[in-house]
Amino acid sequence: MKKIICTLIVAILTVYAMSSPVMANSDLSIELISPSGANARPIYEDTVVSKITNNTNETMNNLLVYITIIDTKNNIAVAVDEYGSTVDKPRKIDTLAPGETVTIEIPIRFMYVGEYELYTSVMHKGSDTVISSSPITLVMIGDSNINTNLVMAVSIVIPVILLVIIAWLYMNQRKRRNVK
Amino acid sequence: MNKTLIKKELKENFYASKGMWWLLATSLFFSVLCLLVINIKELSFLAQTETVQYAAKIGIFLCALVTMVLGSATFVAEREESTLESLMLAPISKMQISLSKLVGVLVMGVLIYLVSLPYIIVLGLGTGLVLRSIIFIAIIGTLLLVAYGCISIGLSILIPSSKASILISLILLIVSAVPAFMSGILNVSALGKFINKISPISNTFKMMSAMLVEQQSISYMVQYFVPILIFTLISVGFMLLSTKKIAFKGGE
Repeated sequence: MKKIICTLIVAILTVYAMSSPVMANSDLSIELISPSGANARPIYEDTVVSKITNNTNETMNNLLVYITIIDTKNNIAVAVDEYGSTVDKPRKIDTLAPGETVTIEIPIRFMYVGEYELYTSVMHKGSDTVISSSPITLVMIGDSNINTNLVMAVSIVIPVILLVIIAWLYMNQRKRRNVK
Repeated sequence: MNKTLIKKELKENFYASKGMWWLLATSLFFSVLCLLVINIKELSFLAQTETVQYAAKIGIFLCALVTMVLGSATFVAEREESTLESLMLAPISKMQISLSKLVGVLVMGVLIYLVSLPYIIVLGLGTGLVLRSIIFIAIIGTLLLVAYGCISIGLSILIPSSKASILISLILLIVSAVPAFMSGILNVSALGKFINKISPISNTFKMMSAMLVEQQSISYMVQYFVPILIFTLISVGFMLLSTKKIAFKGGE
């Protein structure tokens, strides 16, 4: 019975920790304010807003905030430079006073269809701490009006037409040479 | 320009230089790409606007490639086959010879463009980008064609061996195109940023994104257009200067 109760408590605590929008340790916390998620068509543009709070009584220096994007369908952590011109550049917070909160905005741009998890992290060089926010899910749904039958037809017909024209020109050239 | 010479160039480019096979190869290349886009899941993750852009970029690059290869063999081939002498004895100026050869090469580039057109159209149907893509390639693509055509013809005048001329032309094309595919790495250093800013192909691709996807204003696109225009003018100047040095084996 004790085992079951302990397991239940651990499970409840784990679920609570996972569902919390803010990931924090005692010193530093980061919260991803917006967007809360997205279900859109590429090209999807938005600004990721994160709130970073210094929970200590001391000033923190040299904080870096950055984005991580995971393509869950292909199971890869993507190269973020393809998701906006400045996404790969960590935002620097020079000084964060005790109890102070700053907001960092990072524009993103999704061009590819897929399912992504995005979260922001803050790294404090002084204490070797890295804290990440809870991830948000971004689903980029297909935006293709490509007529596959038409594309296939063109892909087959054009080379065939060219081949016929080339063969005809080639034969004509050979005939002329033979006449001469 | 001399019409007879242009006809001769076109015939040579089409038959002797196997230009017709270039056209077929281009169409087969596009066909394979299109079939991959519609059949392979990993490639179908691209938004349609991106697919159209990629097709247009490949079209521009292939036009530039064919122009470079054909242009770099023009004068060298005449010299190696000892036909340059008779060409120069004809009552036409050196400038006319160069310009006629340039037109001959450009027509092949335009034919490659025409072959790629149906593919761009079917890939772009429904996006509203087809017309803009065609206009973009017609204007900026033509500028690039003239630029690379002039460079390759200039090199074929100055370099005595056809192999060396074609090789140097291809290296120049690759060097000028590399920043377009490595912009992320190059942007790390000041030198890289500079190279990225002056690369004609890189600027063409950026301008294409700005025009087709981002739909930026014309004033915004000027920053990309100016380097392309300067590159074209320098290339034309290079060909005009090289033309003065046309000489058959052993000098004039």
